[in-house]
This record gives sequence, C-alpha cells and structure tokens, in this order.
Amino acid sequence: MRKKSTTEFQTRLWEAVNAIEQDSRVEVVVVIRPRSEHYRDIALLWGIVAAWLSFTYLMFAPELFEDWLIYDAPLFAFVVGYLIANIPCLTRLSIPQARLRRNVEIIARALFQKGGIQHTRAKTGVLIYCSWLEKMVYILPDRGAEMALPAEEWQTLRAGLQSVFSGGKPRERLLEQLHQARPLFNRYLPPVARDMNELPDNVEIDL
Amino acid sequence: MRAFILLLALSIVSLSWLNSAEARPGGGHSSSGHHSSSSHSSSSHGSFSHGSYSSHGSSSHSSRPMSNEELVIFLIIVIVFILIKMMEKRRNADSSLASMPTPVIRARRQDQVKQQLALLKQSDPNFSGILFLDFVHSLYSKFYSYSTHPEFRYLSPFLGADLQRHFDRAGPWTITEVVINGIKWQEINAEDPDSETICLVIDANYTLDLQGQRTRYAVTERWQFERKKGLLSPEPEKMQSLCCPHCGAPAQFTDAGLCEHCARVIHQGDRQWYLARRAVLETTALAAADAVSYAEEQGTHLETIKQADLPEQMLRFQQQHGLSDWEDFWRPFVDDVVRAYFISIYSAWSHRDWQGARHLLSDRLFEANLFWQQLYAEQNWFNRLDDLNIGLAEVVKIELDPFYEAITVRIFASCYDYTEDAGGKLIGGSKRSLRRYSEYWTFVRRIGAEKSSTPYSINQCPQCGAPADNIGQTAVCGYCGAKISTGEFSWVLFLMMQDEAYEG
Repeated sequence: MRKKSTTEFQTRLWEAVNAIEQDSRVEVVVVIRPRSEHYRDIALLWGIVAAWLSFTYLMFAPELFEDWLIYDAPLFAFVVGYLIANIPCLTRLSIPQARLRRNVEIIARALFQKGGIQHTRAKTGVLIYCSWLEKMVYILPDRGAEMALPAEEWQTLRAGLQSVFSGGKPRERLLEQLHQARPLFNRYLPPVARDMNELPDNVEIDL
Repeated sequence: MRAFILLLALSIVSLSWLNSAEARPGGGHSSSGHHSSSSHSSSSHGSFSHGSYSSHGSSSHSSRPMSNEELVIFLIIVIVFILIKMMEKRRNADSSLASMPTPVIRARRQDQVKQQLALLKQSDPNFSGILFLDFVHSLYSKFYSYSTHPEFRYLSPFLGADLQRHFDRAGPWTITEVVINGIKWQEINAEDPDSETICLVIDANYTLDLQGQRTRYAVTERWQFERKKGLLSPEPEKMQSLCCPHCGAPAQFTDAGLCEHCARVIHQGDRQWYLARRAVLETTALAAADAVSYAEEQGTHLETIKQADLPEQMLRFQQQHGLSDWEDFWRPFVDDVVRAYFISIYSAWSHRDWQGARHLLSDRLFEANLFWQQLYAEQNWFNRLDDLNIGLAEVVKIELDPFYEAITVRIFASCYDYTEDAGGKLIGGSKRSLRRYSEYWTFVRRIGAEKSSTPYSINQCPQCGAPADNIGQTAVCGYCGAKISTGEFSWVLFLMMQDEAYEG
C-alpha cells in the first residue's frame, strides 16, 4: 500500500517536473531523502544518558535489585533511549539548526555533483532537495539558472518550497509548489524549439 | 550498527556466562548493614546496590542467577531492537526517491512512441525501425572513430552545424572499438509542420587512446535526429551504411556537404536524417573486472511485456505468409530458430568462438559482443554456461514494415553461469547456484526472404547451403560471397535485451 502510494506520488512528481521542463529551458531534478545524516551520535548519547540514569537509580534507590537486573536494566535503558532518539521530532530537537542546515547542504551539493546536474550546456540544471527528518528544502541552481532569475525570485521560491513542511501533507504541498514554480521559470527561461533533455532520466541518488 | 550488534552479542555471551556461573559471594552487593545514605555505602564498598537488601542482614547472600525466562526477555529486547533498526534502514531506502520516470510513465512513453511511430509511418511508408537503427549505429561508430581525424568532414551532411565543429578543440586522441550495447526509442515528434525528430538513448562503450594510454569508457547518450517533414526514407542499402543519399556512394563529403562522387551538395535533413543535438548523460571508466560482475537477476519474475495489438499483428503476419494457423509457423520457428539459435549462440559465447555464431547475428550484435569476447581472450577467461536449459518461449511482439519483419520472443532459461580462468580458477558467478533468467530476443528477416522447403539448418549458409564454417567477420559466406547478416536469406538475431531493461 505504502509502496503503491509512493509510486503514485513519484509519477505525479515526474509529471510536475516534466511540466516545468516543457515550459522552460530549466532542467529540474527533485530528490527526496528521509534524512541527510544518520545522527547516530545523538541516538548513542540518548542511549548512554538513559543507561546512566537507570544505573544511577539502581545504585541509589532504596529497593533491592537482583544481579541480572543491575546488568540488564542499563542495557534495556540504553536500547530504549537509542530507539526513542530515533523519533524524528526528538532527533530534530536534539540537534542544533546549524548542523541540520549544514548536513542538508552537504547532501544537496553531493547529489548535484553525483547526479551530473552540472552537465547541461547552458547550465540550467536545478536541484530541489527535500530532507524529511530535517524538514528542510535546499534549492541548488546551476550558474545559468541562478543568473537567469533575480535573487528575489529565488528567495520567494525558496520560501515557498520551505513552506511545504509548515503544514500537513508535505508531498502534496511540494507538488503544489512545483506547479506554482512553472510560470516563474517560463518567464525567465522560456523554452526553445526542439529543446532536448540533457540530464539522465534516472538520476543517481545513492551516496 | 555492526559495532553495536557486536557489543550486544558480547553482552549475551556474558549473560549466558552469568546465567551458568554461580553468583559471586555477596553477589557484588554490599554486605553493609547500613541504612544510611546510598552515597555513603557506595563509597565505602564500591558495590552495585544498596538499601533494603542489607536490611535483611544476610551478608553472605548470593543473588539468584538469571532465570531462563529473564534471559529470553533480554534476548527478545535485543532482537526487537535489531529488527527495528533493520526495518528503519529498509524504510529509509524505500523512502528515498527522485523525479524519475516510474513504470507507469515508461509505459505511457512507450505508448506515445508507438503512436508517433505509426504517424511517422503514415507519412513515410518506407520508414523501417530496423533500418533506422542500422543508420544510427553506423553514424555513432563513425562519429567517434572519425572524431579527431580529417575523415570527420565526411559526416557533414549527417551532423548539425554545432556538431560538425564538436571535436575541433579536442586533444590528439583516437577512439576505437566503438560498441553499442543498446538503443532505446525515447521520443518521436512527427507533429511539427516543418520537421520530424526522433530522440534515442544510446548505451555504448569505446576505447580512448590518449598519449599511448588506453581507457575504456561506458557512456550513455541522448541523440536527437531531425529531417525535413514529408521525406520518404531511402531504400535499405542507403540506410544500412553511411552513404550519399543521392548517389549511394560511400560517404565522402567536403565540409560544405558536397559529395565527392556525384558533386551534389547534401544539406542536413534534406534527404536523410541528421544528428541535430546530442547530450552525454553518463560516462564511466571501465576496468576489465567489470566484464565479470555478476548481479542478481532482477526481471525474471516480471510479467511479460506484450505488444498491445499482438493478436492483430499475428493475424497480419499469417495473412502476409498465407498461413491458416499461427501454430504452423510458430512451432517450427521455436524449434528451428529460437531454441537452435539460443543454444548455438550461447555455445559459441561459452567456448569463446563468437565467429562460430557469425551467420546467426546481425552486424551490430556481433560487433557489440565481439569486443567482450576479445576482452575475455586477453584475460584468458571463459564464461561458462553449464547445463543450459531453455524453458518457455513466448512471442511478445511482431513488427512488419515494407522491408523487414521482426519477431520478439521472451525466452526463459537456466544454467550454471560462471567465469573461470584457463586454470579453472573461479573469477565470478557460481558453479553450484543455478541461475534462472529470461531475455527478450528480436529476430529479423527481410521481407520476401527465400524460404527453403527443406528443414532449416543453422549449420549451413542460408543462401548456398554450404557448411557455415567459412563465414568472415563481415558475415560474407566464403563459398557464395553472400552477406548473410542482413536477414536477406534467413532470420538473424537483431537484439538481445535483459528482461528488466525491456520496455516493449
């Protein structure tokens, strides 16, 4: 069921991107990833703190505990802490915004390079990268596209795309934003006759 | 994650030991009778627990060892944790996605290509997909092999203005061994009032020789061809090789497109398709080891992709050949062509005797695989296909055009597929694991090809009947001089596609 809805969304995403490309010279690639980093250190930190707390309790609580419990409880607490730390909102709250932003940017730039988005002749490739856990969208235009649109328009576009996380149904809102971006690209980078897609259909997104 | 699992495994081992061992005297607990603060007791004895335990006053108490139930609970916790992490990893992999065409989009695109192709064939009844691909193949090979050489100007009528100067600033390198592995139709536009375009995606590889250093590259390119609206495709002889579309002499043009033979100026797209635009989508440097990389079969269990109007095409084929029943053609075709070719071609491949299958293959397919055979020979490797068994063979597509008929068949097979060196050392694959796979094979034959009344023999030249032991690399029979790889005399294998790559 989940897979089916994902495929449906991906189909609609392709259609939205295709519509932009039909209407302008820009070549858009949208990549969505669940997270930009594993943040294992955060989970480990939560696990260690939970283990330490449970151990402290066992040490100083007035009750009597058996050996196995003294051994097991901190381990159990570690596991629970580790798992709790994987709850997205807790992970997000545990990490400074600057680190989240930096990780999203690093992955976006890596995807841009690995996906070969810089290989359009007129440098009109644009990567729109959405990182679910960080709730961030990073737009990375190539030189040609960046120069073609005024900075204010990019800011508006960025703000619009970032807003996909501000309410529910971020996927739907992302599609809406892509549809709204269509006239913008059309205005500044109008299509030329018999324009050919210069990027591969299957962009490499494994890093 | 691996380190963490190791740590947990270590904990389990420790617990098992704890379970079996007697509790330490005092169980690591304090024997203190203090009821004072924990901190005090802790610092005094450095022990684990305190408080009510000591209130029992049994300083020599041994704690109860971990019971089996408790051990099970602990193990369950560990297993649940590992499972959650694994599921999370899988979910993360699933939820990564990009704006790529889904199967729905690909199917829709294929339908559009078919519709546009039908439109193109309406305006140009001479258009043949097979001949067009031959033309693309010739142009692609020459585009690279001529690239930095003066002969590149010979291609001027077949290249757009920008592309004619494409290699002007290129280094003094040479490209050889150009091999096309696959060509996919991506888009046909026959609706423009002035021109028609065909966009293809080409998977190829070639060797680039730069200052004595040779590097093999795998490339994926998108090529867009264009020509004036309303043209009729030239006859097959002018499509199968690059030649002057006017006089048919081998392509030798000046920069201005003047044919050195007939002195006619050929403008791009006036009489023949020309390459208007191209984009390199991917380039990867290859190593010899890449030839023996074995991946899991991905498409064997996928549903067979059949032509939408296959029954109609079968009927058309029957009518064209005066057959009352499809089975009259299909059964002998499966036995004498599909199975026989499959066994012979794979046997030649396995024995590194690709020349032995020359008369069964189109030029393009022969050249594409000859390179890999030579690579295997250089490394002294053999790709063995033991116990090759053919299962089901089903017709999936029939294409009929004014010059050729093509039948695509999905063939299911199994074998022990592995690569070993001359000493028998395994390089890749498995001698023990049976590999089940399927492939889509397209056989083509020239319309009107002579049909022998005697049973078809793949060991003979289809033209003169002499043994097929004297076929040159260009597929010319050494006895009768006929070129037999064009499908003029019998079926030739035109295309082999992996099931996961086949799109219809």
